[in-house]
Amino acid sequence: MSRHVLVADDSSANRLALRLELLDQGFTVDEAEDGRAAIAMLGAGRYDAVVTDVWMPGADGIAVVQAIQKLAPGVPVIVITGGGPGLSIASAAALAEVWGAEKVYVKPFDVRLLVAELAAALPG
Amino acid sequence: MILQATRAVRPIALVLVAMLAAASLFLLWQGWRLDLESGQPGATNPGYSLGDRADWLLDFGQIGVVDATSLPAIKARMTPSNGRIPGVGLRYYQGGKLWLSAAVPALDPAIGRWVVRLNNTRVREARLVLVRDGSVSEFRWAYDDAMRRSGLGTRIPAFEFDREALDGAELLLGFNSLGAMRGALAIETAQAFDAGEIRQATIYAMLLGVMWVLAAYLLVIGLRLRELSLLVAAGLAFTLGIFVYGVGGYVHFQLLAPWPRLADVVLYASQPWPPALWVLLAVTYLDLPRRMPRLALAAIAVALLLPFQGVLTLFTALGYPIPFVTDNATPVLIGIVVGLALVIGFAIAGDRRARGLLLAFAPLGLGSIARTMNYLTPSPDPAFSALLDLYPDMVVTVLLIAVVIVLDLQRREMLLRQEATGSEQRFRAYAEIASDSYFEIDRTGVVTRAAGRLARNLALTEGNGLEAALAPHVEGDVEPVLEQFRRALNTGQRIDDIEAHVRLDGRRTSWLMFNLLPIGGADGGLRGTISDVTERVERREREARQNTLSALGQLASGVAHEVNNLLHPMVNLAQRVRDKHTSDEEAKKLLDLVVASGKHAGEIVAGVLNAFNPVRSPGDRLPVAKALRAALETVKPTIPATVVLRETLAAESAIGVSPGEMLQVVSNLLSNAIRAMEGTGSIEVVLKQDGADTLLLFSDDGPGMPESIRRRASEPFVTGRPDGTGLGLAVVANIVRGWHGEVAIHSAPGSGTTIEIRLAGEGDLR
Repeated sequence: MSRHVLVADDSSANRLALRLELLDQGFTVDEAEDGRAAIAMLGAGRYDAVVTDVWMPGADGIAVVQAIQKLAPGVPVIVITGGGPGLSIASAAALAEVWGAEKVYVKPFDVRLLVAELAAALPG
Repeated sequence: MILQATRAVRPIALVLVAMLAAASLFLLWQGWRLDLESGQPGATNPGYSLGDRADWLLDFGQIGVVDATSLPAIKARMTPSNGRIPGVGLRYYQGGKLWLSAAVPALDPAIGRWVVRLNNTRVREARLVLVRDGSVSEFRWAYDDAMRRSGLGTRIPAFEFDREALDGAELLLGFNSLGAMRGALAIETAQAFDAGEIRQATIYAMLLGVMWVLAAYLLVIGLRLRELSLLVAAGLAFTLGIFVYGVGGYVHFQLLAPWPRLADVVLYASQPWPPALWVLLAVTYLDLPRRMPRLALAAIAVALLLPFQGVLTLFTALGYPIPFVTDNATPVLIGIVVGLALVIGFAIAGDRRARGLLLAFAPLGLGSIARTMNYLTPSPDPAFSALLDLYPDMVVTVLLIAVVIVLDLQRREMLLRQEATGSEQRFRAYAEIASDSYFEIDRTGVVTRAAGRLARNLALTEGNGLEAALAPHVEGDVEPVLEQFRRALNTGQRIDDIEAHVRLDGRRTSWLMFNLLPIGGADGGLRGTISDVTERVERREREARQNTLSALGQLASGVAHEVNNLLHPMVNLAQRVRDKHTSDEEAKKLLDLVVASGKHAGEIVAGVLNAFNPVRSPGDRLPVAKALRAALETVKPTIPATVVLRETLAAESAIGVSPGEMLQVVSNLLSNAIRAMEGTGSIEVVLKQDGADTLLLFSDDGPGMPESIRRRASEPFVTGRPDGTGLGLAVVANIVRGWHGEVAIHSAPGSGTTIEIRLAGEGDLR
């Protein structure tokens, strides 16, 4: 059974670090470079999990989390954040939890931990 | 004030008194030269009163030429003497003459010259007819006579004869008068007459001097004190002096001898002035214009009309009678009655000042009654009549008026001073209660008045110089502060909000604010208030820093975000290269270092972000106490055993906070405290109500912090520890700001630290 993950982050390097690890662990990965693209892709395809940044151009991660609850309820969301202008990491994390994020990772973090957790949550 | 005013008059008074004394001495010397003693009527040199043995007749122009033919008819019309001096009314009988008829008694043969005189100072014309051995001779005397005006002994009708001409003669005297016609006819030796005239002139001159000195006194005091009633009293003293003692004739006519008509004008025009001024005195002294404006207006109108009446009377006196002016007594009587009516009316109504004035007039009242009685029934003692004619009661009355007014002024001044003292005491009491202080300085910068704690602490006390008081207290340069004071003094404009950073009790510094208001007038100076605006200034500074921090926070978090996004792939890709793309141990170690450094950089960036940025508090909130308990429970396991944690959670505030934020606050504060105490000591956490506010206190018994750190401790990167990042308290302050609360730090080296978090009771936390 394929495990399909959507990664939304405006930093391509971030996406790359995560994608490489996910691919290593047998996930298939779609990437979105901002919130709006992520929401569009959520509407178009089916994902087993979503990993999203908070502070992105277009629509932010909170909007992505909300969209998931509407478009794909039950799909676990992992939020990764490095804060933002005027947004502390603590606040971003707190907001993400409130909106229903499964887990919050604060950048920089070890992507292996995130992927291992996903792998545990979505056994192949 | 009053004493000062009189002091100013002293030189004038001294000059006047000296002149008066000189004039009196001259006149007395003249009198002495004439041998007053030998001129005295008495056993050796008798005088004779003829009035009380005279027959009398009031005639209206029927008596023409008096000769041997007409004499019997005239005498037949006369009323026989009843042993009293005849007198007619108190008014001017125009065209009427009082005729007296008496026999001259046997005169002392030792004395050659004798005088027939009529003791009446207002006689216009007199005719003396002597009938001796069947022959009739007539002598005339007129007021309007150059000789009469030019020297002594001329104010009353007087006729001088050799003894032989008078002795055994029968005498008829007819006269008219501007006032009462009283037949006080007498014969005395010429020497006694002269001596009496000189005596009276001396006394009149002295009394006139007294009145004028008094007038001068009252004038100056009145001007100084700006008391109208004193000025009016001065006028009263002056005109009464002229009128009463000027009528005596000597000073008056001596001075104006070359201008007889002017002398008359002065004399007669001066007559209604005293009553006019008396009315004005009553009006001003009783403060009538303020109390009863209409009555005051009427009284003033009467007072101003009286002198005109006097002038009109003068026309009559000069032979141009004006019909409705019957006599010159009318305006005097009107004035006296109007003034008295006012004073008596107010006195009855209980007015204290009216009673004083009435008291002052008692001597004049009594004197007037005595004089009237003496007119109608003369005393057998001529000295008594002479005394009454001096009007001593009038001098006493004017003196009393002056005394009454001055005493009243003094009383009012005292009341004002008491009021002022009371006001000042009240003002000082208020100043002690108030947080502000008050002071006044004069032009030279010397404190003339000061009250209140701040003024005292600044040594701004009476007698101290402004600069000397401020310089030791003001932090830094005192000159800019003094410059503001000088500017207010020089421009005469108020200057507000002068702030000064001062050290009042040696340890703590405060911000004081001066407001300055120049005192008008010649004395100048400034009036000022001092307020403690420490809180305001510190809040302003804090807000300014906050604004800077906020802008800095925006920048920092933006940068942090970017940095995190760069650190993240750096760390993870380095990790990946280390794990999967190299077997070189050296490279692995170096990459481990890269990963560790990247993570540490991330932690620092996270700290910066949390310190600068407002927390967006989501979701559930718990009441403060509940959140605090939960946070403490969470943190407790991490507290070393060497630290004693005491909790006094007394408040059950309804204010809600995010439990996560509370945990951040508690953990930051406790870890700060533990690190400050170097792991050993006690921490007390208190939650209590302070009025509507909820207070959360974290106290440790650590080393405390110096003032320089304390004031800025809640700013990021301010730390007292070499290994501190200075972010802990900044994070707490940031969170508490999100709660609409305030963080205050109480600390001093050696006395521990207390962090006070105050949450406003009404605060809206959303």
